[in-house]
Amino acid sequence: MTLAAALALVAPIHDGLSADEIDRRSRAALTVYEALQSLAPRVCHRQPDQADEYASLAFEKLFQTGPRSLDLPNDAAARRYLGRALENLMTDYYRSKRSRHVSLTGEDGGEMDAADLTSPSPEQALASAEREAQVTSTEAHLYGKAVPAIAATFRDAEAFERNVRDVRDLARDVVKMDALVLRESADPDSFRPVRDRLYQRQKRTRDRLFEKLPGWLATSSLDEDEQARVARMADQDFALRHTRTGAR
Amino acid sequence: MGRQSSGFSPAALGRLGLSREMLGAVERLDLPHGLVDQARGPASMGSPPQGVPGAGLVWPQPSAAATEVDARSDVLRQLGVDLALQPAGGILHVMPQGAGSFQLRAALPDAPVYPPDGDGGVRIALRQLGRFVIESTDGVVLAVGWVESDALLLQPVYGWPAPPLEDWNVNTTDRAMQDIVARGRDTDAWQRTVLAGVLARLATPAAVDVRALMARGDVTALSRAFVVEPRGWARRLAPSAVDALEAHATRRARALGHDLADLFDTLSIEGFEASRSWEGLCYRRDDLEGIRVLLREGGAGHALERLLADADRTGRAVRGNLGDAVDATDERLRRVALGDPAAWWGSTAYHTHLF
Repeated sequence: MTLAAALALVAPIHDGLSADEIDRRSRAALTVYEALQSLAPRVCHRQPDQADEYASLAFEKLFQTGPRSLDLPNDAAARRYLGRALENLMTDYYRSKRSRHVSLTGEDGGEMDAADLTSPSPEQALASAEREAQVTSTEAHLYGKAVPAIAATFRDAEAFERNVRDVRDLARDVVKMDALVLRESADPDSFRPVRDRLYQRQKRTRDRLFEKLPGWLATSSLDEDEQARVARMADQDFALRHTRTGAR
Repeated sequence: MGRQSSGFSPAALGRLGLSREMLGAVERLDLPHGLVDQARGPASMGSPPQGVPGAGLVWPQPSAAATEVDARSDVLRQLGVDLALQPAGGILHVMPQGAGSFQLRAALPDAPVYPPDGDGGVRIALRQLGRFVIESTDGVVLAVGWVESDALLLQPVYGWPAPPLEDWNVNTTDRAMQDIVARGRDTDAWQRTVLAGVLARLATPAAVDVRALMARGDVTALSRAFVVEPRGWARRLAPSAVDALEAHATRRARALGHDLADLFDTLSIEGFEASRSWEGLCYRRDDLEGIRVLLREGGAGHALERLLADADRTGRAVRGNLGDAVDATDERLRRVALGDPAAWWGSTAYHTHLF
């Protein structure tokens, strides 16, 4: 049984199931649990002593919410899904820790996320340098290979790539929306329609990338970890960061 | 809205294969004063509305181009049906949202369906509208309605037994979930079934040593009573009950997909006022996720899964565009996010697995 298939199947066992269904669900549960055990030390590397606990907790939640209608293309995608489950649990842990801190001291400890932890040890500093190298490599895969390959499937490849860069730069605060509007038109009267047109264009660009990237990853020569990093970077860059009062 | 005063007697319901227990809350839509009587005409003024299509009745000649006033019915909207009124002539226009479909007929056994117009809707004069039923094209009754004084009244029909939530709720030690489920005590069969799905998926169990259990391969011990009992209940439903539940769920899924597509088409910063609206969509999707799980456990729900897959494509695209423009972070949505990282409808405080 593949991990992707097990992830769709994993679910509680009850009296209404046939012996065959019970057997398949049991095997699916073991497959998912073992995958989480294997992933947790890497995903939860900042809390290695808690990795096992995160794996158990993630498994319990996935088990209880199944069977799911996931249609993951391969096991690499399934591992990315499990990685996200573990990351969210870590984020949840830090959020509740921060909430307890505020409640006990009356002080707001500031925004705390899975990345907020104790001072880095030498091992952690080394890991940090490795991660920076990974980011550079992931950027090259996503923006140097995936995006041009996906752009080539559209009639106006150049425009697609330009829109991708715009969305990425907005997400990373490299550029503000106002600057992009002015790039399109310096006429102050047309500011609003131009801005709305840009939003629509960026929305279409995200949609197209969401649609095409999984296929590109599935056929790429990247290993599973690299695929996971590319997908995560795309997730982060293509969730437009804005507030109700305007661009961040 | 109230649950007590149905316009259908038990006998009238019985003739349709329905019972009072299947009825949800009555929704009252006020019509412009005098419109019903005016539409009936002087000869029939004051007589009970009992029109049935067939011999002796002249079908109205409504004009599609005539001015229509939209009417909002929450009962029908969640079933993927919209309403409008043509005040000139007192014509009621019942129409499907998007690609949905339905049929409308008088509430009598074997009554023929009112003929649809070119858009799949039905235009009918209020003077002809007696007690009526709205059903799926394969005959599952979704709602009943009638005209009373200056109002159109609608009542959803749930053709399956309400689940015994209280029996299951005592098996969890999760106080937050106990409170959520307790609030569903007096709700209709749909809401109680939704809560059964919520309880089965999102209740937090008492801590156990998962590692030890998995080392022994004891998966059954992880299947707590409050998780498996709603699933077993779904599996024991009669086929007609499963059909009725799935008919309601698929129509809600289609309506959800329609609303998400609308949202995606109009998404903009100033237009997207949105946390509450987004939260509402997330809840609607999660309601259906619980129903999907229960139907799946009952060996059904394939049509629902297909419709949800369509809605989810749009939902993911919208979520990808929202960034931090909305804030939907309550406890239920938190549990959704932690139980399924691909759930675009989970708490916005967590990352979603979009790819």
